[in-house]
Order: sequence, then C-alpha cells, then structure tokens
Amino acid sequence: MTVCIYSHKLNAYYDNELSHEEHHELEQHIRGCPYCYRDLEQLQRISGLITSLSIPNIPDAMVKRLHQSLDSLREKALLRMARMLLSAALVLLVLGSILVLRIGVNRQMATASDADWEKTAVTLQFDAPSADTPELQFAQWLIADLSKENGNE
Amino acid sequence: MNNDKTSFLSKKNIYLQFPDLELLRRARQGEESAFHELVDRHANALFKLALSLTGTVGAAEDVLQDTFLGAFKHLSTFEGRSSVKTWLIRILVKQAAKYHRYRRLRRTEPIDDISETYPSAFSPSDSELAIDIKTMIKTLSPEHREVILLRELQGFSYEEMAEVLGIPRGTVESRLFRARKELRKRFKDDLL
Repeated sequence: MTVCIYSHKLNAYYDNELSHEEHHELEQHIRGCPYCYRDLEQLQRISGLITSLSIPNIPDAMVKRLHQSLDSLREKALLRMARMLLSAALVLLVLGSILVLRIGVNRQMATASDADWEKTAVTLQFDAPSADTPELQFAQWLIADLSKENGNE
Repeated sequence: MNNDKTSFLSKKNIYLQFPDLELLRRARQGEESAFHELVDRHANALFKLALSLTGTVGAAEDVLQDTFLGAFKHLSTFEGRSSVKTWLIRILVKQAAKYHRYRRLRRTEPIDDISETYPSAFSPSDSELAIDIKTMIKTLSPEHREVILLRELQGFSYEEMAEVLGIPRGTVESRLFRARKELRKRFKDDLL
C-alpha cells in the first residue's frame, strides 16, 4: 500500500500533532512524494466520510429519563443517609441507656455502702473488755482500791 | 407553584452563564440543579459518541445513564486536570468498554445495524460509501473504534485521547495508525 519511509508520520501530520519543524519538513516531502500524497488523500477521504456521518440527536424523552434517574439516585442516597442516621441514633440510644443504667446501679451501690459506713460510725460502741484474765482483775481491783483510799467512795 | 416555576427558570438562566467547572463545583456543594445543567449541556454530544461506540440506541442510553450516574456519585474524584467534558467522556468510554466486555461474556448477538435499530441514525442521503464506512467502523475492534471516533467525531488531540483512554500517547498513535490502515485496506478500491 505504502512504500515511503515517512508514511508512519502521515497520521500525526494529518492530525496536526507534529512539531512546527517536523510539520514543515513533511509538507515539503509530501509535495514531491506521490505515495505520501496518495496516502494523505485517502486519510482525508476516510476522515471526511466519518465526520459527515449524521448521527441522530438525543431524543428529548431520553434526556428526561436521565434527569429522572438522577433524581431517583439522589432520593435513594437521602433515604440511605436517613437510614444510617437512624441506625446511629438507635445505637447511641441503646448505648446511652446502658450507660445510664450502669451509672444508676453504681450510684445505688455507692449509696448503700455509704449508709452502712455511716450507720457503723454512728452506732459504734466501745465494749470494754470483760475482766476475765487475772491481770485485768488485778488492775480493776487496784483502781477500785486506790479510789477508796482517795476518798472517792 | 408558579413562583417555583419562575424561580426554577431564573436559576436555570443563571446556570446557563456558568462554565462547566463552576457548575461542577456547585454540584459538589449539593446544588443538584447545577448537575442537571451539565446533563443538558453534554447529553447530546455524549449520546452521539455512545451510539457510535455501542451501535444501538438502547445500549447508548444505558451507557449514557451509567456515565452520568457514575459522574454524579463520584463528583469528588474530579481533580480538574482536564475539562469536565473530557472527564465525562472518559467515564463514557469506560462504560462502553464495560458494555462490550459484558456482551463478550454473555456471547450475545452481534450489534444490530444502527440504521435498522434506529432508522434515522444515519441520513439516507449519505453516499453508499458513507453507509459502508459505518459498517466498517462497527467491524473494527473496540480499541480501534474508540480512537477513530474520539479523533474524528470529538476532535480530540492525541494527548486528550491518551488521558481519556488511560493509555500512553504512543499507544494512541499506534492504535490510530492501525485503525486507519484497516479502514484504508477495506476501502482500497473505493478510495483510489
């Protein structure tokens, strides 16, 4: 089909993708090269045929459906967010309830122990040891005797 | 109700003045109407490309819908390195490739002739050669079809095609070279 060494650059030349120097160089070449000239012509014809194809415009109903699908996506997203928020609120509610219950129980326990302590403190009575050992009996006798001597009786 | 309509129309007029990037920024901030304006702006060009890539109106609609829904869902991924249109085309080309993969996997029937499924797809006034070329385009591989259509219908540069297709510029050049060579080979006699 093509026998020229410049043929691989023809596409880029046609698409205006070469540097200014390269473009100029190839332009000079094409003027004198029947193979490149013919290839370039064919490129132009194919390109012209493709660009001239009349592709229909988008139907209005389709544009409407596009908008509807976007609205429906947004609604779904809002619904999903609402569900997530609701779930989060429920979780917080359950956790909060557990926390409140635990605090209540702890406070109750603390109150109960305080009450025991207070009760113990208030009602604490010192029971004098009974003089059942000989030493104690002696001590009690001595105190009583001394009291007598001092005229306490 | 009437007030709503007036406010919608005035909003629509405001959006008409904004460039694509501003609309996208507003859509990101939750202004849904801004994205609807982007749809109105680009739907036609994208539909034409989708139709050329897929070959049927039904498939083109599916691809187009997935393109806009995908773009809407991933508004935050737009980095602003390309134009909004290029970004949308990149999504569309990916969706079209997905469609072709799906068809291959499902081993569905070859795509119908556009002119059969959609009578006005190509104007009857086109020459016989033009009718042939659309058939030829359809017989190209999806990769070759992509580059030909992006170049000829969208007027994309090699750099833009590389960005849209996610391939190196050199690959774009070689694919385009092979696609055109293929077309020239098939039209050898007609083009002489």
